[in-house]
Amino acid sequence: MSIDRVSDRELVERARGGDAAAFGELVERHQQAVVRAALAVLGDPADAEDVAQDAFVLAFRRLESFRGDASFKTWVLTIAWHEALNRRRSLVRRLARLVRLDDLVDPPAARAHDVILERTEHASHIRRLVRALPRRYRDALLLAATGECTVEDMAAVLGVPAGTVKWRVHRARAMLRAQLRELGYEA
Amino acid sequence: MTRDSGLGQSTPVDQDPIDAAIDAVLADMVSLARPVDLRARVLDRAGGPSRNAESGARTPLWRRPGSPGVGGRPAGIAGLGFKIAAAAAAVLVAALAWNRSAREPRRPENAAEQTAQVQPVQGSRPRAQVHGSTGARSTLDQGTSNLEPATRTRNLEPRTVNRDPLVSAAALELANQIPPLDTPQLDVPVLEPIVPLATADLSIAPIEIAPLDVDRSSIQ
Repeated sequence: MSIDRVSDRELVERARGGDAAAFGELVERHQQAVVRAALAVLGDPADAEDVAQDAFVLAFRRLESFRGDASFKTWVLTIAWHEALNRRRSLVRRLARLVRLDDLVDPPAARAHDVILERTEHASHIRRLVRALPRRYRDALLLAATGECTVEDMAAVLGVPAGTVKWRVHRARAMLRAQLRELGYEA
Repeated sequence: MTRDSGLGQSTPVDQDPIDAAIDAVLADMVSLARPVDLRARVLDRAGGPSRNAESGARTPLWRRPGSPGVGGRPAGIAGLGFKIAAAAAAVLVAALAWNRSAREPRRPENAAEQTAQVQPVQGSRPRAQVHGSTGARSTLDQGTSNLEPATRTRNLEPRTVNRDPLVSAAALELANQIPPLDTPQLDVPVLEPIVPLATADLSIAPIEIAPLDVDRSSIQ
């Protein structure tokens, strides 16, 4: 039987039995979702790839502890998410020594007004507003934006109920809309 | 029919342009600029699952060939930490050995050191050990050292005052000037009391104090 048609669960069993190709197939199947989830946290593609790689290696080492309660994808997404959060904490600590954290998290309104005057800067301005959102809302919003996860996957990754995930995404969008209207955007 | 969302993208007219702009930015923030291929990197780092050929048991990853610090692969952080710990342990052992050798009396190895040794003076007790800075056992400790005859014997041996020949010679000269304890240090003649204490009159005569003859009127 072609390995393409084998289920994740079967591949996990084969990988536990020492089949490296089976684990390689699991990596290939889910690497994009894992990298995009890490990208949602970190915002840097290179960092996201590093974290995804670490997450797969960690998953491989912990393969014996995978019980199969959730899907392999959800499991490895959760590992990658926590790895990315750890990386982000260390990055923030490093950056805080170089620049004022206020500029990074909450750009001054005056500067935002200047930026919005230039049409070509709109995208970067919205990006800044997204980054300035509280983490719990921003993470849920960006994870949903990957389009790789169901609400149940996101709930497992974030460790909150599915209803909370929906609320956070909705709330994040509402905050962004309100801020953009304040800054001159018209519906 | 479409409308410019403000981000250079066209969106359906029934969608709020602000929402469209947000969606476009969000999609851009989590999009991958190039295809990702982690398979080879992950398998290279993980080393691949392996089983012990004889027992069939899984070998821990950190012992598998290809793991950091194992089987000729360059040691990673863990290997570096082990080397640092081993070097620190070696330095500690060397320091302890040096400290121990410095505390123990050295056997004289040449004539200069033999002359620098303090010989016990005839008629005196063996010299007490100099304690404190040398870290030697105190005399109180020696009372409990019956179980260590070698140590006790060693403490009573003549010791080298100093390894510097000049200083040792000076110390030897000073030490030889110290007389034995059972010989009088000075030749002082013994004087007999003029009045034997037993017969001496130790009574004290009462002292009479005469009143002062002062003209009080002159004191103002």
